[in-house]
Amino acid sequence: MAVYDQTTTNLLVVWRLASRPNARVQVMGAGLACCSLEVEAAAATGLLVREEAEPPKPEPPTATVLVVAGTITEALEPALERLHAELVQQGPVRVMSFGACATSGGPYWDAPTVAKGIRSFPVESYVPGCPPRPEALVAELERLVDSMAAA
Amino acid sequence: MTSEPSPRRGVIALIPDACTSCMLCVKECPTWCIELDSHPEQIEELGARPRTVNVLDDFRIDYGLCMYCGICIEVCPFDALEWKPDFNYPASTRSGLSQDTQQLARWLAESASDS
Amino acid sequence: MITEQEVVSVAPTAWVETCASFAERGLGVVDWLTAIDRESELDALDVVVCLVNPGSGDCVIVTCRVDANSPRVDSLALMFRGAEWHERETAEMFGVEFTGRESTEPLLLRSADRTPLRKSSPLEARVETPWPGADSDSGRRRRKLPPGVRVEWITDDQ
Repeated sequence: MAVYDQTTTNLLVVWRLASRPNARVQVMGAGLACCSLEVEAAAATGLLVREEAEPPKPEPPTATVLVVAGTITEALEPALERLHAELVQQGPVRVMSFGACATSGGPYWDAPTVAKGIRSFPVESYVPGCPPRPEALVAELERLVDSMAAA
Repeated sequence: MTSEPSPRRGVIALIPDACTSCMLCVKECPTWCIELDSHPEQIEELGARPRTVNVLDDFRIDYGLCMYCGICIEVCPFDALEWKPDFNYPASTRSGLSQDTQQLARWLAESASDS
Repeated sequence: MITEQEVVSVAPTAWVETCASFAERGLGVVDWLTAIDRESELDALDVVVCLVNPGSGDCVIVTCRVDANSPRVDSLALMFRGAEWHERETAEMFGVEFTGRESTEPLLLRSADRTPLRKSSPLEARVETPWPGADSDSGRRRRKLPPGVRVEWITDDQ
């Protein structure tokens, strides 16, 4: 997948939602800082299942949720923008801003090197918290997945 | 999963009647995520001299900025702010994360399962 | 385990040779390197490095004082590879020039004309964002500046 070539695997980890095994939705975790640990926490409790490193899918996913979790430095912003652009080319993408940093800069709102949240592409869902609980991530993922299935 | 989530990772709720609009929480908030509007009002009671009190008009917490440090709760001289367990209050717009007096007060009564 | 933490202050001209002599005595790894803005006391920065002996855990802190207006000191990066990253960061954040090394390309900043960790560097977001803690105009109390904002950072249009 092209995104792996241009971003680090730390920036992008692919998950499946355990409670929606048939949804063929992939959850892309753009883990930029500590909020991404909550994604791992959701995985540790079995709510999210990590995909194998990079298997070619027999069927393309019907939808993708990009979870932006962590502080967006101005230096990393172009990489995030590129990642989103490439995902959009592959199919429908919903963006979740997970936690205060991705939403507004959070505790780093006044830092000279930090963007005040996602500003390069539209966001469908803002999950508050610093960090939010893993249960909040999964609840909102389920809601997004269900709304995409209905669409 | 644990049965009862810690309120420390939940939400900060407001007891409007306990708030004196002293602005301490607003001034101490590291992310400037609290906004408070109030106006002075004269209170006249029988047998007492008239006194001026601040009446709370609006209290807002922007949960898109809040870092859940709890400093507002610590500095409040009247214990008008409290941790509550609700953690599930996402929004589809950025401004939808800003919660007003009514919602902050509603959280007082709620437990996590109500969300 | 850290057994002792000695602090040695040297002139900038003795910076590299002092660190080299500690390296010869086994303190050959840069644990961290940064700068301290001494603005409140004097017009100077302190460049600070912590050298460790990874075997024993012993460490020493070496500092040198440089002029705040042209902060410059020889690079340690040729001798200590571990100084490379920290010098880049210190150059970017404090404007310290480390001479003799290849480049100090910025890691985080998009424009090179800022030195955000210098105390005189305005916290732009705090200047531009209206402070919700400011007293209302009708209030009797004098309007206070938000924490972390200096009066000289405020221009008339704000």
